[in-house]
Amino acid sequence: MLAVSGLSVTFDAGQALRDASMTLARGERLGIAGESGSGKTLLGLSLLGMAPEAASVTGSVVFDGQHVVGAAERDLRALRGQRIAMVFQEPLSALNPLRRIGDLIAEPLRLHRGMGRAAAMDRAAALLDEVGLPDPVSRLRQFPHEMSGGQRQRVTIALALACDPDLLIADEPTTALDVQVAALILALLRDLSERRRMALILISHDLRAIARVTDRLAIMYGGDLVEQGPTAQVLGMPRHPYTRGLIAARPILSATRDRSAPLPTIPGTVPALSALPPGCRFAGRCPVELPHCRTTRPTGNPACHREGA
Amino acid sequence: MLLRVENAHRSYRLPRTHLLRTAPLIRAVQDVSLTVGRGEILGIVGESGSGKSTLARMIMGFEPPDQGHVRLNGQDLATLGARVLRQARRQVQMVFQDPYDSLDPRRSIGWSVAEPLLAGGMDAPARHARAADMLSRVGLSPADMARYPHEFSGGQRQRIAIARAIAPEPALLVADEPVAALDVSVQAQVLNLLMDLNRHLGLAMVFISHDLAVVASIADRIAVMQAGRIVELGTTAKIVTTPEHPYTKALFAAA
Repeated sequence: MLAVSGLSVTFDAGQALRDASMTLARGERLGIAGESGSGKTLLGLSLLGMAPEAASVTGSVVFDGQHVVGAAERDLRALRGQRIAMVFQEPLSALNPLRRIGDLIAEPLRLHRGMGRAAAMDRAAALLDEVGLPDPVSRLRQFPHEMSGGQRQRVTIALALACDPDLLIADEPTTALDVQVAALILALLRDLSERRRMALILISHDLRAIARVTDRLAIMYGGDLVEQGPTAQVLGMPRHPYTRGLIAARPILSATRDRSAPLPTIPGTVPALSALPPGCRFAGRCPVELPHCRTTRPTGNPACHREGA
Repeated sequence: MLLRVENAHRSYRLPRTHLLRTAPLIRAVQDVSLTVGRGEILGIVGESGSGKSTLARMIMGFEPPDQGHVRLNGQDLATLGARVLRQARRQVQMVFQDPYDSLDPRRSIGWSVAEPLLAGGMDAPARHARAADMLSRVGLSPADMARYPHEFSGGQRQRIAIARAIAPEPALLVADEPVAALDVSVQAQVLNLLMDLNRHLGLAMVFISHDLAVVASIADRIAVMQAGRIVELGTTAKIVTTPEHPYTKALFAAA
């Protein structure tokens, strides 16, 4: 359904996404994990043709036969919202504060589907019910500020579902929420994807969140897709040194941890966009670096000179 | 006991919603009691609105409890005069969540680290030497003193904020979500630094976080807060292996 090949996004300061390739089948759930500056959000935006205007985008993104890179804005608008929808981190800034929930959800239905007001409102109530908001009919009259963070995120999900998209891209959908609410939203996303046979891309820095929801996992670092595979396999038997470091550095709940021993860390910090090494982007922080890692770009999966095939 | 909080309460009035009714009252902290011994790390875990940051502000002496006491080395902060309070406050320093907001962008980091020493009556060369010493202590170079916050990454800024906090040699550090804004690969570095300071300087800490795994990796004891109250308090091993309160169990299930 979705095929990304050789996708690169370059700014004046440097290449923020380098030669990314991946595929996604109908109904599949893919996690994209990485730290800030890894290019994960940029990848998500590029799938919708929404990379910043200052960037030059090369390579191809094909969704159901339609090319996204270089497509006319009019064609992209039809794609966005209808076939591909997106949910963001901050539900409050994604919802117009001056409009009632019902009007917000009815708008895409009237615009894209040509529904009348009454029919669109009925559908909006059904969507609110589907995302687990109790008493959906009276919710239609409420404003975003009258709801909690978790409820608002349910509304943005309902809004994203309005035109029955084939793919939902959720970018850090639970980062702003408390842990218990976050767990419910993640369960909802998984559930919706299964019930609707809707593909899901979950972008997150949180490996625990991704493990709960996705079947496949792609790890990003410094604009590179460094490792991809089944989620359980990547998390259970990570092959790329960055993936291994990331998993080891995550604090885990353990009663037996010896607190006089330091936690495992990845030394150094993510380099700035303008200071990325030309070869492997993880060079300089990597514990198993080879002499040519800094200069020669590794390819394959995992993209690593030492571990790759 | 270094810090003793006794049956502390704190409420706030929300803005009036109706002209003729009294403004609603939020009970941010209710009947909280806890102690922190010298060199001990007490973790406080809770979700947003649980009252953990209000508790931190009371421990810092930024605001007094409505009822109850906050005692530092046996002295009740609320009863101290301004001068003695200033003295007492040097004993407690704080590190915040956002390392971007907590440093003055127009001052060199050397200045920022040395600033809390102004109140201690040190002369300029001594302050400078101490700031350099603190920066090396947190893993930065004294050669960085003339540089500005924007030249550093988030993790490095948090190190600078920690250097500033430990410069006056406090006995207690209150860290409110100190790693929440940092990337995973950098979080562990900052946690290791805090544990190192705890071990080598005997620095006691109140470590506040919404993340149970983060708290459990650093704290000796953990207090779980919900809706302004401590619902469970015990050693880290005890809380991790046999949580008793339903809320603690729910946090585990979601983690």
